[in-house]
Amino acid sequence: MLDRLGGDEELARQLVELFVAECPRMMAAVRDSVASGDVEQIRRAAHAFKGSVGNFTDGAPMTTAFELEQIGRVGSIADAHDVLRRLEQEVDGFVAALRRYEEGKS
Amino acid sequence: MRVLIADDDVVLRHSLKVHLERWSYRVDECGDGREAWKAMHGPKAPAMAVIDWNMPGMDGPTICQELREVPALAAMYVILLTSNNEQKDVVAGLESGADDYIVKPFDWNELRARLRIGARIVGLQQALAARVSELQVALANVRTLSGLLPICAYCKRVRDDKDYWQQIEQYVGDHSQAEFSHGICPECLDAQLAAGR
Repeated sequence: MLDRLGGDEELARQLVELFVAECPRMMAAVRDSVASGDVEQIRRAAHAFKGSVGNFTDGAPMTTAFELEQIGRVGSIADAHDVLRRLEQEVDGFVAALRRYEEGKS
Repeated sequence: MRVLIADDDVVLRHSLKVHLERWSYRVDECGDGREAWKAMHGPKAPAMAVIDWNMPGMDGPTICQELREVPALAAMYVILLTSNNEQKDVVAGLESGADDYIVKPFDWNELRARLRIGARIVGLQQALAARVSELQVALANVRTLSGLLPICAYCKRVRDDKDYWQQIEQYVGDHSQAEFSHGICPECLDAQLAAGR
């Protein structure tokens, strides 16, 4: 992760803090969009989350957010709830790992 | 050099701000396309902008398109930030008026190099604009000298555009880079000597 952030631990810590604080709002927007069934809203919310989490990883949960974004793009929302559930689990694990990283640094 | 960063992702925006400030740019930031559009106007308008493709309010390509229609902003150097899956739309992004683009996630050294290219182009454009306005002033002076000039048939003073009669050398001196050094020509010298002065 440090590589992607320019190898700067102080900056990495600031970015983790920003992401952890912003994550609940972004995930709420993703949840709301799936609940609404509005494909454009799903695409936008999933895209925004994918971009932000993509600052830290190119694996899950970024790939799952991308899957959800594609669902919004293609317009077939049958799987949206399942993908969202998977995304929530991955995000929980990811945020927990980021918190451990933050604690390890402070 | 002032650079505007516009991205709705707080994480990337902060990272961009920190990096650009380290590279000695003065940074303004916003997280919304419409705010970015407003920030591009006025006395503190940035010389360069790094803007995200997807933003609430107004997206990157729309900003570029509208920017190029405003003569005062047409010279602003704009780098579009795109995601991988928008790469196929890159041509559309550039045609909207962006000068360059970079795909997220990007290498910071690459962004730094691209910004340097932008800064160089902005510098050249500013130097060119300064030269053009110098030339315009010079051309205006030449025009003053090439127009119809009322001159007194006896004392040879000329009338300027404010209705003052002044010595021709003063008039020419005021309207050009010419300077006069006073001397006496052989005919006048003879005439002056003959007159016993």
